[in-house]
Amino acid sequence: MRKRNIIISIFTVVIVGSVIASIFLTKVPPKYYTRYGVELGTNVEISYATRKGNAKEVVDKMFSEFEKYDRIFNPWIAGSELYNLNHSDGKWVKISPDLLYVIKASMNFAQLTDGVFDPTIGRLVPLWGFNTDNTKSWHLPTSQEIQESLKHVGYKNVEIKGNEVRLLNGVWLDLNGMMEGYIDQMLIDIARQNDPESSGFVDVGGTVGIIGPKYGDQPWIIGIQNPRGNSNDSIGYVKLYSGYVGTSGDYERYIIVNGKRYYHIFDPKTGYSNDYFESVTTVSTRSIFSDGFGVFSMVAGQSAMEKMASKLGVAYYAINEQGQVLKNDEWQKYEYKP
Amino acid sequence: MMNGKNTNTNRKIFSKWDLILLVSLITAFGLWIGLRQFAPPAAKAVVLLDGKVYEVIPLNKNAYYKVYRGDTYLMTLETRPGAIRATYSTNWIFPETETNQVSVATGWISKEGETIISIPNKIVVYTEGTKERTTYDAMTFQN
Repeated sequence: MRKRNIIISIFTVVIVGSVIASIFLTKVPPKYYTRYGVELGTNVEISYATRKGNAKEVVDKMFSEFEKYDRIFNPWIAGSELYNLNHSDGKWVKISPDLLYVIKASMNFAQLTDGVFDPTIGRLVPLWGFNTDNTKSWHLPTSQEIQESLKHVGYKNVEIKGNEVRLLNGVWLDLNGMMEGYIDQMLIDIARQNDPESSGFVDVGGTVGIIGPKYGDQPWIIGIQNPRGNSNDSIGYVKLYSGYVGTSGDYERYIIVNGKRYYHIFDPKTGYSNDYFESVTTVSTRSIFSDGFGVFSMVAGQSAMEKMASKLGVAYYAINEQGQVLKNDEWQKYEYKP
Repeated sequence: MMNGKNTNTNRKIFSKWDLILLVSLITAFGLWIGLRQFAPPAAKAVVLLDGKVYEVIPLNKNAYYKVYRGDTYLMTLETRPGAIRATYSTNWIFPETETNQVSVATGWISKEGETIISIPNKIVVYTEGTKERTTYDAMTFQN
């Protein structure tokens, strides 16, 4: 009887131990820490997993960076670095490496696009009232006001010497066309410095950058917001293991006057928005292109978009004003169909 | 004597009832572990204000909730089983502005991965533990 009880006990311990071991030894997918927020006047989502076990700490550190970037890039807050540069009356101003990088990238893209993408449209933004969330201040300026502002637009008025910048002819910089992609890139660097094998994504104002593949070997599925739907309504999907996806569109900051839609991306030659596309989504290995290409395309139209996409090697998914979807061959690599 | 010895040797280590008890115990233990590991949590909505958790709302009944910053009213949320929506939102910075309420236009959210966002009020609402989740992990939208 005693021998029997001992055998039963050993048998039970072995079975129960095996069950517990199998639970703990089974490869479980990494647990993602996800944090949402509203930063830099837009929504932010970061999802992150690392085997080092400090995902929350790293994501919190990434979020703490936004205060710094707001003090650098917000052109509408007195005292920010960009505000001070815009109000420097043509003097040389020493600037931070972050601001210098984005200004240089914007200037290079302006040259590449022969000024179709132009970061010096800064004075047009408050003229239309699009620099504020107060939708009652969004309005159609007079043509005289626009002509007057256009006198202070032109990327050739930006001079760079070492870490100093001078803005001539009263131009104001608005770096929204590339800032979010740059911040994505900087935050991803923080994540990878913590753990090169870590995984997740950073979404700053709809520009999504990939830290590492989902669960180590799966793509992240990124929805493309339906420009005429609500904010959770996706019209297409892209699958990304790495790189960046960004979207430009006409559907968040806009007014409709006499049936015509005017939005916040201006043609630097006319001072008005163009009506080629509802949205342009871009996938690129470079963060500055995932933002800048969309702005360029919204201004330049289909033919120029196609040529520039070939030149840069980016993939695009555009919806024109008739609601038709246009996408290039490169897009097939990334398209996800559920 | 011989008979008695043979009977003792042939006696089974486990009786039928021992085996049933053992299997039941192991099954119960496995189920308990499994449920703890994999059982979905109850559906709820997390309301963030200024980046911090303002309220966690169970999505199990029809109800209304109001969000305040200090004494200032910001938003009304309505729940029904498994879903939540914003029915009204002010603009904290510009109280006279009532147009372009993206948060209200978002409508009901009921899947994990969906959000209600009010940029001026710095409010984010998202769901957890709902039956479905979105096809996408993140959304790209105009910047």
